[in-house]
Amino acid sequence: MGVARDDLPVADAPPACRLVPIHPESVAGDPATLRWSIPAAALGMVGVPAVVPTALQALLDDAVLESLFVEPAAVSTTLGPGASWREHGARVRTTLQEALLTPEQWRPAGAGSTADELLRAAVLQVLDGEVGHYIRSHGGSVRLLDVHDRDVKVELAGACSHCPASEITLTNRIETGIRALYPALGRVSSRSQAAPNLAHRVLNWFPARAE
Amino acid sequence: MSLLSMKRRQRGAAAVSESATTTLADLSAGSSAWVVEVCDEAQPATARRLVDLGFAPGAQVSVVRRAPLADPVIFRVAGAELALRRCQARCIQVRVEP
Amino acid sequence: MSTEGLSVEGGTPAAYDDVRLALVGSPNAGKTTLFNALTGLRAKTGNYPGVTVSRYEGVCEVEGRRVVIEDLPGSYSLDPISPDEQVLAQVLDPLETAAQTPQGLLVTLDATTLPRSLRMLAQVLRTGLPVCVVLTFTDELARRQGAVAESALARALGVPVVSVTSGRRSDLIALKELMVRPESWALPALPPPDAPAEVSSWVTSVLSAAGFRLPEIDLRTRRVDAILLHPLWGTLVFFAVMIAFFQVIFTVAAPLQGAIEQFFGWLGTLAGSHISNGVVRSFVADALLGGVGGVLVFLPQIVLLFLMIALLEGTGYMARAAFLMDRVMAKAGLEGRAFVALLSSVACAVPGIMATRTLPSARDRIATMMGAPLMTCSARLPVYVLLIGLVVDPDAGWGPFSAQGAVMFGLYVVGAVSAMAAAWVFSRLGRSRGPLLPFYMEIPPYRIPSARSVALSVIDAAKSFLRKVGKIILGTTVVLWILLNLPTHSLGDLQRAGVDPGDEAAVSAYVLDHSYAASVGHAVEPVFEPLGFDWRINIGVIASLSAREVFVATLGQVASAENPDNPQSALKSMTVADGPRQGEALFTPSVVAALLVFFLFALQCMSTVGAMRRESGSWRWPAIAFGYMFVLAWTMAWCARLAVEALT
Repeated sequence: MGVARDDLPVADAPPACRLVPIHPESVAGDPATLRWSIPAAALGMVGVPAVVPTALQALLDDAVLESLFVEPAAVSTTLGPGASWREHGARVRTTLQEALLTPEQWRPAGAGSTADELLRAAVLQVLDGEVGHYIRSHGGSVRLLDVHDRDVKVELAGACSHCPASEITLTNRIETGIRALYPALGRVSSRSQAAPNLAHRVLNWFPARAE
Repeated sequence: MSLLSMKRRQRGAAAVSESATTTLADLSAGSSAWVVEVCDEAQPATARRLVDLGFAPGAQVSVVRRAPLADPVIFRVAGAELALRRCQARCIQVRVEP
Repeated sequence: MSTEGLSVEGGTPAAYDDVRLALVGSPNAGKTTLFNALTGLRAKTGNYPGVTVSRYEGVCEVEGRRVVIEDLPGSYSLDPISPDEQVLAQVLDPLETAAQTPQGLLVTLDATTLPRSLRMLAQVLRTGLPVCVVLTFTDELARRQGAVAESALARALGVPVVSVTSGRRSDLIALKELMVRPESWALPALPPPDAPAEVSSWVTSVLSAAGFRLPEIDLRTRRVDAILLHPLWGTLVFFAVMIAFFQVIFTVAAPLQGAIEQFFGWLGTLAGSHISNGVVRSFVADALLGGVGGVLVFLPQIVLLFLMIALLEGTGYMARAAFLMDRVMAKAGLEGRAFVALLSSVACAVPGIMATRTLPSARDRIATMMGAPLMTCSARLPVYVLLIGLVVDPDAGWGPFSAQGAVMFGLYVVGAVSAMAAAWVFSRLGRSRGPLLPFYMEIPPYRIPSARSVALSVIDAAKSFLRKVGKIILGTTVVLWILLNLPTHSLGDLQRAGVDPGDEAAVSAYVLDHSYAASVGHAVEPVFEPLGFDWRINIGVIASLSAREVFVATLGQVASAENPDNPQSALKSMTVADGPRQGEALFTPSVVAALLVFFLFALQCMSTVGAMRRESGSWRWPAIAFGYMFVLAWTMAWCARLAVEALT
């Protein structure tokens, strides 16, 4: 989806003048929080970070920021009481920008740094997001079965699982979504909950696109 | 202020690979390169404008063609084609292929 | 007003105040096309106070509410380095009281060059004004295999995004619905950064979130450019285009102008036959109708010129022509585009000065305007023909080249060279008052201009000429008529002076000799005496202020020749009436040379002055132009007289 092409600025820049591409988006119903888009898997962790680079930690210590949360391709920053984006936004941006240059200095509080954990977070985000919403709005459902060694297994159920074409399309959409958040993704396979049908067999002939 | 900090950053970059950097004016037609920095010789306003036009550090630039009298030159940068005179192109430090 | 504002709550929308929006965007981003599509013919044009920057304002009615849209000068940045950009920065600065800050900004972004246009958008978003992004050329983006997701872009930017493809009505309806409520537009939670490296980071991230794919290189444009920008073929095509361009304003316009002149001549005769009082008849026929005709006679040239400029600009060839000519024009301190203005001035300085609008930099516009009137315009031709005929033998020459032709050619060359020199001087002077503007010019892909945009730009040029310049030309004509024809003389006056009242030529000569203009001619004699002009030549010089070719007819009247339009023979035998040179021939080679040189340099044309007033927005530059050209003309004429006297 959002893969930068080689003639875009920054992508192939000499390392020293390359900043990590980020931009903030507001979060509906939560004006104190900004969700910063970052390149997929730029941090190598998900969840609440326990250790972050010093300058960023200083923002937490000064109560400019109340909390941080890392997603597969985003960092959410929530302001402390009394702070405002108007006043502190630029400082948060610059500090975050610097902190992203040293991903090795970020460590999660608990789980959230192994490859499987990162992939699992990416899959859950996709299934919670647009693709999952689309499936549910058509009377279907989708469930994560297993994540193992860069491969993902999901289960499709309900209305869409009867139609082989739609199952392939959906699996491809899920895969594209996950790959945008986790570029190292291996293959996505899906299982239909309904009685085994043509779709299942077709799917076995066409293993999902592998790199 | 911000421009200065940007420049400080790139001077470090330029020092690493001194041999590979050249100016945009010295590229031949058809070749492409990456912008390292807009050099100090340019007035700050001119330097800032060149950055705003897309000649930002890290951007890829390719030479499309030269005018019959060798000046100006058309460059392709940030999705657009722009003609610059050589004296301005000389202010833009580039690196040929990373 | 305030009570009306309060009554809105009651549900009567009729009392809403106007919504004020401004259009911001880089050149070639479809800004003007959008402006035209929204406001149509109801646009008002003018100038920003004190600067050479045109101001366009139009009204668009949506849901019974008036939306006033200001089309701000196109720019690639909000960091002002030229007067145009200063205007832009002033209007967008809420703290700046000199300009009215709009309630919202419509920012046009060319979808095919998003990586660049987002840098400008970052600056616009930092002003804090409500912004609505109008994405243009999305059809071209798709054709060239690029992509962008509108909704994802809106989310990443934090502001509404509407894509408008030129000519699609449904797009405009969606935009108009947004336009009436700038207060409801989403604002970004945090404005974009300012430091260039952080801006690069922001741009890349936003593009990636919006699924942006850079379009392929436009192959059609590349193929056409391979010919049109080729060192040999490109240059040949350029000269062919320019010759055609020049031919159209010079040749195609001529019969149309002739027809207009004839029509007003006929109207004058018609009016004359119904008015018995000689003075009133002359006033109506010569001053009023002559003045209106004198204004309208420029219309064919202006319409044709702007039609061609709109086509050249709209297709994208103008940028190529400027690219090819840039090296040559750089010698005069100008850029390639100024070539078109200078070339048009060979037909007439009025359209030439109006053509300076196409120059992006105000400094270049002024410099070109200051040089353009020195190009040999078609109105100088009859004057040159008359004067050269007085002193150069038509049979003299070298082989196929006649001496007369050689002199004429020399005058054209001197005109062109001095126009370039003047432009160089003025661009140098301008340079000392601010940083040197870097030269950059976008080479847009070839596009087919919309008929609507072409038509509107032609109509706009014609309208602004008629309104602003027309008044000045008409006023000058009336004032000169008064100078040349008043006071009136009774029959007794004429008889006492020994003039036969039945001899029209003699009467008109008598009236002229005793007119206010004659008094002025006498009064300015000391000024022109060193050039060898006597008061009768002075009358001609004064009369030629309305149009240079009037000099020929006025001299004819002075000489009371049988045929005032061909006074050569009478003039040849004219002698100096009084003073130390009394009895000597008036038109000696040295005086004729001085006159030729004077007409070459002097700004003897109030229409040009009017056009300068219109395009520069104040009387300052026309006053400077008139002043410097008069001093230059006088000095050069004096030198020419001395030189010719020394030679003969």
